[in-house]
Amino acid sequence: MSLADSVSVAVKQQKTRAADVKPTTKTSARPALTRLERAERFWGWIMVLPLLIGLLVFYFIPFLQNIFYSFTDLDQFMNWSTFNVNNYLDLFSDDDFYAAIANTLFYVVVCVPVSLTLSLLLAMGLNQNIRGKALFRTLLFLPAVTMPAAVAMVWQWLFNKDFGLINYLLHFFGVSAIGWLSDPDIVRISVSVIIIWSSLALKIIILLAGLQSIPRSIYEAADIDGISTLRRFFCLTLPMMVPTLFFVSVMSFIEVLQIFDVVFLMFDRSMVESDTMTITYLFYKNAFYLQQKGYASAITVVLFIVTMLITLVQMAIGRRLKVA
Amino acid sequence: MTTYSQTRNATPARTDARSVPRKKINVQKWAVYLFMVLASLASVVPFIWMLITSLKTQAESIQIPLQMLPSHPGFAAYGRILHEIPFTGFYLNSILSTFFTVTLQMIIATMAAYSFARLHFRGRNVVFVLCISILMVPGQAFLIPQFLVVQKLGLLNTLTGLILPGIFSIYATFLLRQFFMAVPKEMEEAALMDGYNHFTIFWRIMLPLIRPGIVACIIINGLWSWNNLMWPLIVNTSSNKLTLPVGLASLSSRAGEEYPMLMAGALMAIIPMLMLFIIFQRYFIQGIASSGVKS
Repeated sequence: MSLADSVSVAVKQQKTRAADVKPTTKTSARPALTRLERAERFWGWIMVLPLLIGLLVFYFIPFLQNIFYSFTDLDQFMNWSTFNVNNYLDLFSDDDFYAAIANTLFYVVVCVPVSLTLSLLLAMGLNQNIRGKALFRTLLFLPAVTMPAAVAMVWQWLFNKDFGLINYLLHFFGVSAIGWLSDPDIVRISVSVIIIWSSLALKIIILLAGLQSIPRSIYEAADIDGISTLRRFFCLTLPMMVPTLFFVSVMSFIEVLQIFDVVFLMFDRSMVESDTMTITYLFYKNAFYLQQKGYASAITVVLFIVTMLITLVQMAIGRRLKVA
Repeated sequence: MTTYSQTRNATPARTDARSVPRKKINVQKWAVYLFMVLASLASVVPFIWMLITSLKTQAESIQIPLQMLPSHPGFAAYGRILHEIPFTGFYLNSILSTFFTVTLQMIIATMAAYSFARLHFRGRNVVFVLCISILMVPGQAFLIPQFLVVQKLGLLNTLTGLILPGIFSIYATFLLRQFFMAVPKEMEEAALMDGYNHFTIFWRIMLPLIRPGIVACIIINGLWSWNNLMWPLIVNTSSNKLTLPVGLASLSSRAGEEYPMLMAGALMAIIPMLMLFIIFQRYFIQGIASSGVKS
């Protein structure tokens, strides 16, 4: 979920912890360990062992295997014969790949800012003392627990050109039927709407927790000084929320990079290939539909590198903002 | 939680003294209200439309001009789904897979998290950083080799294959470690003096203390497992082994344009989580929030 953030936090904690611990381990590791220390070491390893074995078999080794496969022509029967960089060369001449990158960029540019703004406004709304707050909260949070497969199905129906609710409501305003899911110029906006609708709730929950942790005394002081609502927001709320907003935007980025369910379920293959291709869909198509597993591995390696680069940029920004 | 507008309204004398027109405050309050109502509507209308459509007949659902409410609401679509598709099987597979995934995840992750947070041994920090670094890699980068491992073990189309890679959760380990680190040191030192071993301390003393963290993890990972599409889609392909998300995908390619049936299926798939959410709302919100405010 929170790749960049959690890792940087963890690494930092490790650093400080390592510094704390060093003197004691140095003095105690050299001479024979005491009985208690040996017991601690024994239980320490025993208790991480199940996790370690699992990670080794299903994550560490697969990660290396995946990089290896990306240089081969692995097929569905796990056979490979050549070992070269052809997959990567093919990737850079694959129209689908460029389409996937372009679409992902579109979703990043549209979904991240819009969902961040909307979720902040809604979190602030829920943080007010308004009547029916509990009901608003329940209704707004429902999408967070709804399975993406079902989300895709209901929006497919809402967006239906002939019988959909949205076009029906629009016709009262004199708008003629829009091909939300068939018009190549519009379809990416429709997908963005669905992504925003389904991802808003999680962000509101986290931002609301952030808002509630701002000390009330600050607002009371501002109240006495008679600051305007707008200045209150830009000079108090926003600066206090920077760390939370940063975390949520990182989360949002990673979410958008991994869009698959909605696209997979809403469109038939020809539509995806021409207009709504995403990186994860491209991977799925090559790995499990076309059975070009070597090529699919190369896609994930590129995705990994891109994610790493974004993470580094985000960490640099985070350091600037002094939140990571 | 008390906010600006409320404090203002609570002390009208002071606001009046600064001659802020009361009208303006009211307008502001109504604007907030309107915004919240519209947003809540946008959030809930898809669910209502799902329900309404599922009670219609196929002919009613594609009637022009569109008819808002069904004239004879009925459960025919639900009956057809349960008869024509092994939907109860999807349910069972989803429930079993979520239950076993989360249970095993918690056993493995709590132990590892305790060890990483509380026990000192050489190499611990290196191992922990290595584990955490997995979080930086997009999940798809593991999928093909994971699939090959499961295939080699002959576990395609089995429950074991379905849950296997998911039970090792670094995310849960990381989150639980934060909770363990917040427990005061004295607790376990006293127990150590009494001669208990580390596992007993973990099991008897530490686990009960981090119950909120465990609840948070169960909710987040349970949701994730229940809703997950990609892995079940890849490993379980025979129709009686599908989970609900994959079942919905196959339903949508099979029922095509029969929206009452599709909506009935979608609604049945999300009802359990919606009910759990409405009943245990507080825990859900705390759980999700704790994943965000951990730093």
